[in-house]
Amino acid sequence: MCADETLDDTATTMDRDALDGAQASRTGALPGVKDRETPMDRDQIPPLVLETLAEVAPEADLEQLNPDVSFHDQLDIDSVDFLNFVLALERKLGISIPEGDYPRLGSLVGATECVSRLLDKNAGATTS
Amino acid sequence: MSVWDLARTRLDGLPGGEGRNIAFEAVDRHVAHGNGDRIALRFLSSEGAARDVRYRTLALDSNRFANGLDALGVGSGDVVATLLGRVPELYIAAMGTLKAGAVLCTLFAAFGPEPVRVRLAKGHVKVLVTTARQYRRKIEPLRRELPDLKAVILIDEALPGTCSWQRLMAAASDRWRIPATSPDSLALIHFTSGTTGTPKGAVHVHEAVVAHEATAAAVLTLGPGDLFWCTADPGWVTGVSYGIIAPLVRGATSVIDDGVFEPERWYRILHDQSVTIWYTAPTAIRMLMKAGDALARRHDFRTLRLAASVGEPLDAGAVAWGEAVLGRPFHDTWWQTETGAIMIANLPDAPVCPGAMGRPLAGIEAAVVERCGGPEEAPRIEPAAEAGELALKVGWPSMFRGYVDDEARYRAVFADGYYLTGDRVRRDEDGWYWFLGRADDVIKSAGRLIGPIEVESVLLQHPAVAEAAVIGLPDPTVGEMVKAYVTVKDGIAADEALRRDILAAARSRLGAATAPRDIAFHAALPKTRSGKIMRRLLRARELGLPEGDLSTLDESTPVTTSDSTTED
Repeated sequence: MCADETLDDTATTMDRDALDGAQASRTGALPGVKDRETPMDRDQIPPLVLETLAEVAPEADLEQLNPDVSFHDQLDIDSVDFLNFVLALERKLGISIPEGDYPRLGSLVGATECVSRLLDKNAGATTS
Repeated sequence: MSVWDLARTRLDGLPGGEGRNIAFEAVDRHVAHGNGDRIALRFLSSEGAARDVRYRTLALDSNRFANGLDALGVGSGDVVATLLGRVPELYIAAMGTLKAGAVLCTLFAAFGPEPVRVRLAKGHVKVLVTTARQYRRKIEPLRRELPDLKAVILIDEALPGTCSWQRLMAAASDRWRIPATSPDSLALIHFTSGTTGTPKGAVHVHEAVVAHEATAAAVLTLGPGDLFWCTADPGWVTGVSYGIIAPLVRGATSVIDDGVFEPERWYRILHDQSVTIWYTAPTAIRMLMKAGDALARRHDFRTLRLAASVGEPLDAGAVAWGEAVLGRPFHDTWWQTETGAIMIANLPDAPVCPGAMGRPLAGIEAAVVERCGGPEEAPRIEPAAEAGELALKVGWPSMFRGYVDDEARYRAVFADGYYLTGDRVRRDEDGWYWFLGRADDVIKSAGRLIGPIEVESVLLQHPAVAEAAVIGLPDPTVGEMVKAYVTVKDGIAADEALRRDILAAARSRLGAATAPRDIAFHAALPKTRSGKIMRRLLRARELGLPEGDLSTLDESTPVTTSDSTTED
């Protein structure tokens, strides 16, 4: 129905797997990291972030990506893509990323820091 | 006196009885009435800085742009397109184009090269206003395929074969006399998607401003002093009718945000800008709801007088959420590219009927009908028992006046004096209209119509793809998500690498907003005996819905979805 447009850049797609993954993480199961004996090495995070981005936007030239500049400013991705990226990260890492952290995930540096903080927090919660 | 005549009395008409021009009603007359100092547009950057443009400045700058077009030999009936984000140049170009008597066609900046090429070619666009980045990526490689495109104006830098916005504007006078404009002169082209063929360019005339004015008053209660925020992008019809024209015509101030969607920022804009009237969309509302009430409750929205929604059906839960969390229920409204302005709405001064589209506005006669007659005959209609296709009696001022170069498709959507909308609805005993679905295969994602053929034809250009079908799958946030089903040519392995390669190619050509979000491989697609892919059946099977009439299905092709060759 209705006028065929709306806001430019607003949307998300619910990814069933991602939701299941996020759900699993909240209940304690940690798909993707549960078999790790040690917490994920910080060096492993950027490649994982880039691989996740490549799944959502396979046309993107990620070798040219400036790690400090936002993905939005360098790639042709919209907010549906961004949400799919966040949900896929949750699924792979077995973590739940609070909505309030989403803006921090907008660049490679930001995403690496945010993910590593969440993993540390998670590891702390698991060991204590 | 009809509501349209009443609106005409609130408009000026061109001086000397020279007709009606949208840009004069939107900008110049306010200056003539001594209101040039009012703020017309307030641009917000992603960092939160605001830049105000007053009615007087917009009048002078759009005069310059009209003179610039004149210097380029562009005038009455020529089409000027924009491919821009929400920057001041877009609004200046829009008003200047209309003042020059040319026809405005705004294109969505996130379109990939293919949708842009199709629309520029189909619209016979003569001048394009865009940025250097857009030009390099989307226009320069295919300029030879666009014989009508005479000039490209770049707003940020000068490249070979283009004109500089700065130079054009600096050389142009800020005085301009709008030529006599008949109310039936062409003003706007909005492209919209259909089930078959290429996108359709719906043509609107200057008289449409009568409906913009009337609906902005009756449905949105817009007036001087209002801070109005329409979140729609100007690349689509809402972003033009209500993001540019209507608030200016009513003398209000438009808040224009060029940043990406972020709940926290949106709440801050509502609060910091003291927005009084907000026109947004279900996808955005659902994303705000998802971000949680606590975030919303950190802001106060006491200046907000009215919240309205458009783009797709708004569920009752979202209406109630607005009331509980923002202090205002969302008023759903319905209209289309072809109608040019709001036709059905939950009016501001009456209780909202949650989940309903609303009731027809005064001046709009709606009916629920079924089409009858054979495919070779002119369409006829008969009243529907309960549910049917929404039809509107012709005669409102913003009704589209044609599809560019496609008289047959235009004629096909009129019958017995009614415009047939393609939307299926139900009217209840109290006169409320309830949306049921599209009568065709057009996909509605994040409020935008996406034509499956446009996406499929790009998928078919991939060397590995034999067949492609594109459908919309229900999605809790964006309404429908675009998903593609493809079969590959013999001897080609349908693996993850190929899936990504096809997805990459589709996204590069179509842009993120139009491309499929997911692609699945199938061994075969359900087809009719004449070889037409049955998207409806594909969708029904994907969702486990009743398969309906299968009399035309070609049973010789395997059609189950379980033969998918990838995990899905």
